[in-house]
Amino acid sequence: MNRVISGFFWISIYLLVVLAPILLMLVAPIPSGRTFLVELSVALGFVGLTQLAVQFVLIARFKKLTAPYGVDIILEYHRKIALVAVCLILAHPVLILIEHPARIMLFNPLGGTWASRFGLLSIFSLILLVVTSIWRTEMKLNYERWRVTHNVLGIIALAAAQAHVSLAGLYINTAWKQTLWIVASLIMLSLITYLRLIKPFIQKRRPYQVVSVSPETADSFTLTIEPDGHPGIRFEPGQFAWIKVGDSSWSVDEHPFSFTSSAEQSDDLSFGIKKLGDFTERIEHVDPGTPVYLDGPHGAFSIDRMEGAGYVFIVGGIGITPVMSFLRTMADRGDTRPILLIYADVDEDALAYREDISRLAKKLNLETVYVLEEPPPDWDGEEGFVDHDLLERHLPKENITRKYFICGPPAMMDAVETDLLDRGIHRENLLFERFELA
Amino acid sequence: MRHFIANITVAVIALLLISLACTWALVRSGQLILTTEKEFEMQRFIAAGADLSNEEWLEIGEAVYIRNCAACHAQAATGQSNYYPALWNQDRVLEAENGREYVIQTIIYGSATGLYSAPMPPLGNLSDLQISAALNYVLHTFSEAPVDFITTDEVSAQRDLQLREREVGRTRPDVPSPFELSGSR
Repeated sequence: MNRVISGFFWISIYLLVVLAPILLMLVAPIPSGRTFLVELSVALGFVGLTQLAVQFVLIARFKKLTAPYGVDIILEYHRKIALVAVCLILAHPVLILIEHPARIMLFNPLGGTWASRFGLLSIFSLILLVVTSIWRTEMKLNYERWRVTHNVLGIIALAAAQAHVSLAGLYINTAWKQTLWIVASLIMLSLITYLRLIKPFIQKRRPYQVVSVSPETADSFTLTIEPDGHPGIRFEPGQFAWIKVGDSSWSVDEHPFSFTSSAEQSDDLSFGIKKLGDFTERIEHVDPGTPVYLDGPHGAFSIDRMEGAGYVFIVGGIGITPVMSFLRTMADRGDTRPILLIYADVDEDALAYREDISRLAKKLNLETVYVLEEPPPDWDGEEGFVDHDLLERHLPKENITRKYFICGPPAMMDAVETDLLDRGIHRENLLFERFELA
Repeated sequence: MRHFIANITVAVIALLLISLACTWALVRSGQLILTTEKEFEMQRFIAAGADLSNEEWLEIGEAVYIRNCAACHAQAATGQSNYYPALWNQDRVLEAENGREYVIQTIIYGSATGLYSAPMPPLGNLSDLQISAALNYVLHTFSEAPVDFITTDEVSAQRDLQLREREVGRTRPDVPSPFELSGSR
């Protein structure tokens, strides 16, 4: 309930912030209303700018603010609403130009005025931001470099937009309005300082160290760490944390990984990691004792957030990691609610944690179905994909409401979602974890 | 469920922002939010056929100027380098042939002369009273020679001519540029 209340609380604050500039524009003295297109253009510019500024709050990973929804949802929202904001902002110069074609001279970066140049700079940065974010992999931009670029372009876009408004804004016509706008923008910009400079400083004072790195399969391993000189953190099963490995907590080399250990034990924390690139390869070869810095716990994909009479976990590939945390936590708690685990992967070698799962099954009311795309000749589990027929064979027939946790490749999650909804399972009983945070 | 809600929220917020901007544009362009009560009173006063005193013209004119013109031309009409012209000694423009018409047209239709790097945007949304008051304020305050005040009738005579910024710019009277006029004082 508490979470619901704070969820609504933050949404109301958000709406208030979004509407604030429009309300401020109505405070006297205000210029005489201009034509529809010009006023529409100005209004779109202002609401777009506000959205742009709010993005800095969304990405700052404030736990209080993100906890009700899960930071992954906030980041997904960030990606989509930022795109909306860019479209609104782009409409601003276009509409002005339609209304006043003579203003084409303001679109020349060498001509025009300082107001128009800052406007152009902001729009140019925003377009670059969108392009580098949507086509990052196609542009062969690695994650770390993209992140630095993303931060810098974001700062330029907001600072230039604020300069544009300060110089050109008919609505920013008194010293106190001018001050209010500049201060608000500076606060938003300083949030990035919080995330990139102050937060690492706090992390530095609560370090962890590597206990062990143990292989699970050919392309995945478990990283176990322990708190170094402090009591550590508590998390909910299924949550994740951003991890930095090495001497500096200010490194931009930071990636999110799911906890695989039990939420009932906080002395040792373990993470399931799939080898995907430079960073994961580097972690695989770190020595015990190497410092580790954590930003977490984050995320809302947790059995503790969706209590059910029983559970169905449907996972593919590395999506097994949060489920390992579910199973271990439930075993530690002596929780014997019925669980059906459907675990799909390419081949037998890719399946991780099989021994752990069969050991845990002794303490749990757990039924496990392995699904392989390319099964070996002697395979006695399911083969193919998690499709309608497979779910038909295995989904529980009993008349209790189970909660469904689904984590895996997007195509699998979409297919499973459609199928479960078709079966009449209510959407509120389904919880998905999408891994692509970048 | 949460992803579903997140997508719905994006759509709802986007629609909210767009409809908010459209409402704003409708309300503002429809002049539903009056800038000051004083102007409204004066408008009725003039409609009733009464004459305004010089003080009243200048009082309204200053308010209109500060809200609609000063962002570019600056409060003391000094303009900004070569972006926006200074408005000192514009009586010279007014005295030239077609000068009065030209000055009024620059406000209603905007003007692009190429002398400055930003064109003057059309401000035909201002009422006849606002336009004449602002012009009278500028001419009276920032010129040395006394000028005949521009009347609301003169302004309304220039309406509905369908001119573009560049067309107005080409009809600029043959007087020194605003830059030179400002320096001549």
